[in-house]
Amino acid sequence: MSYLAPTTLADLTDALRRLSNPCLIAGGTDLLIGAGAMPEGVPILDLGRMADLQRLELAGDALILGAGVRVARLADDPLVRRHAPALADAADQFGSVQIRNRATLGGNVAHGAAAADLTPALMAMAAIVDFLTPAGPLETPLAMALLTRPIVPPRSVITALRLPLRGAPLPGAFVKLGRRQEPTISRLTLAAHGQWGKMVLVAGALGPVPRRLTQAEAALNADDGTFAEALSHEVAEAIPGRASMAYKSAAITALGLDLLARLRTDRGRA
Amino acid sequence: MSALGQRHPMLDGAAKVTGAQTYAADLRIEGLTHGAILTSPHAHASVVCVDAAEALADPAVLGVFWHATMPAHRYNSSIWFDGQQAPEDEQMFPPVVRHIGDRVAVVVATSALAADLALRRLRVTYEPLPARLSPPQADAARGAPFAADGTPTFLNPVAELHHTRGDPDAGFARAAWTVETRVSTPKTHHCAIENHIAIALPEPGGRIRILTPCQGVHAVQAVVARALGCAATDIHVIKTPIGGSFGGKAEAILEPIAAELVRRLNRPVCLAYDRARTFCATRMRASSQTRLRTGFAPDGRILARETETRIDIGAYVTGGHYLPGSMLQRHVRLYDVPAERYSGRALYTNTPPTGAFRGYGSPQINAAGEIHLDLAARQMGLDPVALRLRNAILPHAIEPYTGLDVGNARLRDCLSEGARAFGWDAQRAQSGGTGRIRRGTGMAAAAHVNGCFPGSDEATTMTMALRPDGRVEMVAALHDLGCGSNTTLAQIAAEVLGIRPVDLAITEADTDLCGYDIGTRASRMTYMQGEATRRTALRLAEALLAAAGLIRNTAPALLELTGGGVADRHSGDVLTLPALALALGRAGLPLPSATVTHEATANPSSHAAHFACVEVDTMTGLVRVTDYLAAHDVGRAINPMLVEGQIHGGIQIGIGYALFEDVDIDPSSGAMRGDSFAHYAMANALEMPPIAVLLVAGGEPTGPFGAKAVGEIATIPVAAAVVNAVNDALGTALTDLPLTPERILAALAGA
Repeated sequence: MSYLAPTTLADLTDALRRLSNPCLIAGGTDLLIGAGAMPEGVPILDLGRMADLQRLELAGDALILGAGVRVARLADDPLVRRHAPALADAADQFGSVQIRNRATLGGNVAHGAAAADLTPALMAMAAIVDFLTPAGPLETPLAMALLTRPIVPPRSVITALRLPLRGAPLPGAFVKLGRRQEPTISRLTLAAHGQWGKMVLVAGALGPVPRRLTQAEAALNADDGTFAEALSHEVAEAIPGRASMAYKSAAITALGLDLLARLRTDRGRA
Repeated sequence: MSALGQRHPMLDGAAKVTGAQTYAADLRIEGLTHGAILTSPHAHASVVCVDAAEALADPAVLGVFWHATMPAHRYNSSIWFDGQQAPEDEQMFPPVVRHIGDRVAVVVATSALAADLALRRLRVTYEPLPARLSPPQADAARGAPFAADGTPTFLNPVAELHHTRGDPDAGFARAAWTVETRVSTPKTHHCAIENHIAIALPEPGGRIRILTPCQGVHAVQAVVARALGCAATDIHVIKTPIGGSFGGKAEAILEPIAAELVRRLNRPVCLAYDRARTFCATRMRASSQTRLRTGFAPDGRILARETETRIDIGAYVTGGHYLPGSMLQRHVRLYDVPAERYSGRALYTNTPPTGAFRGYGSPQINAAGEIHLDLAARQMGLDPVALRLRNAILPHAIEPYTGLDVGNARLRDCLSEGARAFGWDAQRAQSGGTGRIRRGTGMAAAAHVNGCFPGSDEATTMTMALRPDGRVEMVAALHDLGCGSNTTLAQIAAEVLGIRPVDLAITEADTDLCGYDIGTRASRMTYMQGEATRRTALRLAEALLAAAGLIRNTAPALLELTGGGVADRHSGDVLTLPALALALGRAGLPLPSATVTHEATANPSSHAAHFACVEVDTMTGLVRVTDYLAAHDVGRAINPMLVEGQIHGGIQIGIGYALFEDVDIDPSSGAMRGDSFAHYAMANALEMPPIAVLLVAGGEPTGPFGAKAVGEIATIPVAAAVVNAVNDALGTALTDLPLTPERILAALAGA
């Protein structure tokens, strides 16, 4: 078994060029738990020592989040809390303490689990994924990247997520529903971000990829008292005939209330 | 200082928390080979052929075995002695697999990795057969479960028990209130941290040694002998330290196969299941569907009760043939019911087999009975505690199924003192509400046994001896399952012998060294093994005093055991046990020892009353248990810390049973959806409420220093207490466990 842990982008590029189909590992919280989740007989490329993947900074009109940033850091970092409150909320409710301390932003995006907690918040902020590919850097809107499988192209890595910012920090929030407090696989999540009246609303765990709830979003922005009803209706539409439909279309109204409560807290703070 | 009542840390606690404890998987054995078991993807199928050519091409692979090449002896994995009457329907590798997870073939290789890789190269031809996955479907397949020649037909019911006492019809005719309830409980899994594992090795002379984290070495020996068709004397079983069991390791599952592989290969073999196979290829708690009808007098006194329970025991009978009786035995220990009609029916289905799990039948029948009683209290407008007090059995009542005295059973004290300490009336007054979060308070009572008496073999043999180094060795087939029973026994012995618990040298159970014992089951450790310990220690004490009398040229009556040695009652001079051992050796006198066989003469009840507060989110259906009090009659707590530990753990399992846990078998395919900790949710630390433990005063004359069991009863009333609290919060009549958010919202929508 071969194992490589590059520390520079140059070494990483070199390793990606030389290795055929390596298994990329960062936090390992997805790869190490499943029986047979680690493929046999393939080289392991450990991204955990790449300082370049640890960036977390404002650059121009974007917040740059390195793919190797741990979830616990996302939850606590003042920049993230200020500019991406929905992401900070999602990170705060992600997995458990132990998982948050290991899991990385890039890993959550790369594995594209239906119940991933970070991607709805990232989508609500129109995040862009920065890949490093054999042909050089490549940027793709997250919404598009998640529709491609595998999400990470061959011989490529995610280097960062970029969150476009528009002027002053905007409100945002993320709420989730599982079977217990934590750790729990999300059964429903809601993320919202934006100026009041122009919020973007994204639901997670409703399908293979996060889904923008346009009707509920309109109701939220109109603030006309139809938000809960719209949420319920849109969730029912999203999963017709599923055994979980009745429950999820009812419980989403609770998440809607929770989301509003959190957004209002944020508005009060801002 | 007396060793009794001390919060003595577990003797093996430091080794466990520092990682120094050596479990079976940690053993480094020269030449150890590894087996991997292929399990069935079909709920019911003939295994026509296993093509192993591709797997055997790897030189690391030592052999592939399946039903065509392994012994076909039928056995029952739940027996504890050879010759026990038990239906035999299991085979190491059955030609017809009966559940997803049933054993198809085993690959042995020089490494675990090679075995796993080879497993994927086996080509199996199955002929799928129709499967019976639900109890109603299974119940329709009626017929004798065994043919005249003993061949299993797997028809139902595999066991059925009817019991009638008094005149139930007359009781119902007189009743002012008659209440009927149907309660269902899920299949749940033990979730011990240590997965199933067994290691077998060839011993010189042709015997086979088995190292296994088990609950009974003699039981493993008996099952392996049946499965291999060999003499029990050919099998030598040693218990390894165990990483949790809760009943899951009470039956020999991997051991027969490991032993047979040693016969084939003459090399040490390790068989270990991963988490998914531990879920779907071992044992779990049987599910139940129970209908209860009770007739009450105007004051709430029970006049008659009718119970009909149907238990899904899965693919093999294991102990399912006595489960209806076990449930009845616990059911009738709680309340004074003058007229009773009970029927219990155990059914085969094509789902993973069930077996022992903390309380063995008790949590099922208790959940049914106690949820039912609460709904009855609501209907009659009676307080749940008052209704229970009105019907609670009294000390020294005669338990009607076995006719035994329940001993100094302090159920009423658990109810009244528990209610007072919990502030029941005040808590109850805060129930309900109209907002999103509703608050509820509930409670439940329980009764459980202490050992297997009057069942066969409720006895144990123990030897204690002074070692040359002055420690006292204690040899019996003891199986501490991780809850500290050895520490409790050491405290009992220390109390009698005037030494410290750490001065006892306790061996792991070993069939070559230890007298016969049925193992850790039926809440018998403290009560049975504890009393055996006390009696053996008393006998050893006599021998020690006699020996010291010879050394000191004093009458033994003038000596006493205290302070780690033999003291002169007048002078206070102490001859330490190491000094005594040395002096005896120098004098050419034998070191004192004692062997006692303790046979049970009673089976008293342990009791509990549990009280819970919950908050229910009426929009999501999520429940949080916010406060908890457990009142227990354990007779006397030898080690209050370990008693509390058992109660805390019991509540954790019980909250899971009420709210979260279900292996969730797909009713169309028979596949288990909850076969990992990602998909099988337990109550973890965040879900646990603050817990207060109240031990009521009592004392059981037949128990060691008055002590009784706590291990199983700790989990028995929990689910009903929590469900009753939820029903109190919402005004619902939820009776299907677990109370998933879906079920709660559906009940609210229908209410």
